[in-house]
Amino acid sequence: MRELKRIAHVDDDDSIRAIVKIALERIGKFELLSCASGAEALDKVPGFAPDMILLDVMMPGMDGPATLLQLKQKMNLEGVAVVFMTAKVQTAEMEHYKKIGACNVIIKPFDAMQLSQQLRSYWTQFHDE
Amino acid sequence: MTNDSQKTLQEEMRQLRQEYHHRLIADLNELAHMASLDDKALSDRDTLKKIHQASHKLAGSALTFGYQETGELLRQFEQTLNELMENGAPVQPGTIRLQLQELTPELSVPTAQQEGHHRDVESPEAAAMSSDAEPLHLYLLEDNPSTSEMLKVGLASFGYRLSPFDDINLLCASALQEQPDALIVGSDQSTFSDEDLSAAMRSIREHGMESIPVFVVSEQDDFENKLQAARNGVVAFLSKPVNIPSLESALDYVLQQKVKSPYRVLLVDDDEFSVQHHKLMLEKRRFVVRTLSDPTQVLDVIEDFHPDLMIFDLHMPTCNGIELAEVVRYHTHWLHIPIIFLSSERSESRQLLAMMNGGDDFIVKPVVEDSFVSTIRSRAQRARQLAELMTRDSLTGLLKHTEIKERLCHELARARRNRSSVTVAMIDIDKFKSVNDTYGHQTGDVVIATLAHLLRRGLRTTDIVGRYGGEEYMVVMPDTSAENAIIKLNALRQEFGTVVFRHHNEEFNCSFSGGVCSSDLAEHVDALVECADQALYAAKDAGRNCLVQGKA
Repeated sequence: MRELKRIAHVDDDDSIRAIVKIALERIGKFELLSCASGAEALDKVPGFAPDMILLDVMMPGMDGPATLLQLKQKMNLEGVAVVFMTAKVQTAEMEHYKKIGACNVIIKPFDAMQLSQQLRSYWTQFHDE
Repeated sequence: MTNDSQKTLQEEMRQLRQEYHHRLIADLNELAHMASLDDKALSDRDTLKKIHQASHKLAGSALTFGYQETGELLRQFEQTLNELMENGAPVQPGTIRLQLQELTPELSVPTAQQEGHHRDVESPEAAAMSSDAEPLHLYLLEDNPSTSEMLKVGLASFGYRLSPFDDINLLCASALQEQPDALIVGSDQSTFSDEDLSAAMRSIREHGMESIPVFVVSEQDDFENKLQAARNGVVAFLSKPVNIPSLESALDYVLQQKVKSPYRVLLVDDDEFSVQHHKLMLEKRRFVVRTLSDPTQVLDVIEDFHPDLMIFDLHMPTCNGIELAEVVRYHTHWLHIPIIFLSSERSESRQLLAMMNGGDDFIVKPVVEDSFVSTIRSRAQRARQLAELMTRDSLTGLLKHTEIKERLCHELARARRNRSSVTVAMIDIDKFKSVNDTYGHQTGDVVIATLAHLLRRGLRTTDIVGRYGGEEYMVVMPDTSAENAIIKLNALRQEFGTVVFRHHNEEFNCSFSGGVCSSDLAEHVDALVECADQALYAAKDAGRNCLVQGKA
């Protein structure tokens, strides 16, 4: 299993992007690409070639699932772990996200100090499955 | 990580939090500003969608940045909107506006760090409040004078003092002078529409009565009205015509709730550090915690400790939490005690598996202190309510027949161990059948509930009172001789004799007789009850309204 190094994060919320940046760059020592919209992600993520994509579900315009579908058209997502981030907690939705290709879902609020560790364990799980 | 980089990291986080604080205020302001939109705009689906998205976003970030209260408020609001949009029900702009306005007071949000300091709301003084306190003072808001009078007289016989008002402004002005213990709002078609109830509740809250429980008695007891009441924080909703005993038991339940004994939590975890950590969190908030590191002892500890709730760690060497839950669940009389699993397991499917096997909830470590404590508290509270419904008589709130007998066995065993004595009294209302025949069953119920109330208030908290049969009660008094029990019960007998009952314009009094026997005379449960029963017959034969001590 290769090491988790490059993570793309897509969220329209500035504060969340800022705290994720600290959590993943400073604490987790990952290489991070931060995008403020689905459109920006479509533009930059394929060139960044991430190991993992962290996608906010509810965004204006193109939401998380829509962004993922479009990304699939533009790049090969095999071996890329997709993790959704949402404040909603319904099991049915969780199943839905997994069906469309997410390996896990992070429920807000999340603990910034734990986020890197959490993503690493998802990464391991992703490779086990 | 070196100390320096740790420091700058903390500095960065602090700065980020500060920035977020300003943003939260700005965003909340913007949301609250939406309340000034007119009804048409607030019913518009696109506007609602915008408000929904904004509150969804803000809820997620507020919670992540540690703004627990604001975050929860936003989350509730978001859920309300979500339901509205999903089921396409007609939008009530008034409700939306109200919820938007509620976001305004939160503008003076403390910073996340400050928030931690004033969370402990329950003071030990409140907990120590004794049951011999002053009569509870209630305010009533009701514009129908005959209903007012009926409630005033009815509640007086239960020892409540009621001040009626027919005007909300007068009531609020009076509350500034003297705060009531509870407020009853008579909500009639003529008195209050839905909107008015909200408005009344708002002025009540604005006049420093935010912590006072509000009861609603209403002629309209449909779902819509109850929902309205629930949204306004009403603690109990009763239908008119008011049944005084059920109003009394609702009052008693809620007001007693404040002084109820703390919730008991059993923590089973082999990890010493983790156990102490969670124990401390709970003890800070007035829980009583028993810890256990060896899961094989769990059955004895439950038997001995009587927990309201159990927390099992999922991964323990001898047996895991799921297996442990299954073992506990073999004991059907503990089925009502919730089991919560604690684990660093984040996988959805494993969590679901754990829940299917006897667990009620799953908390992921590391826990967020606030949500951990509030989950435990609400689970424990619900479990205790259910347990009480199961074991208590609905009219009197006293223990049911089987339960009081079980408690008596328990007390007898304890008395034997401690070489102390326990006294049992059987009490029966005199000529109760003629009360029922003359004044009707409803009035009879008032008499039964009144005596129940008197016994509960007049005796010590360690004494156990149960409703044994129709108008028959059993009192179990630990560490008490028969002589002392008779002195105490005689005082209550005299007090009961002074209570004036009313039926239409007729007034009447009641009395009770009792038989008392202590465990010095009869060691076995059945013999003890039989002895007290015989003494009760003797009291009836001796002319009623007296107490008789049993003979061996």
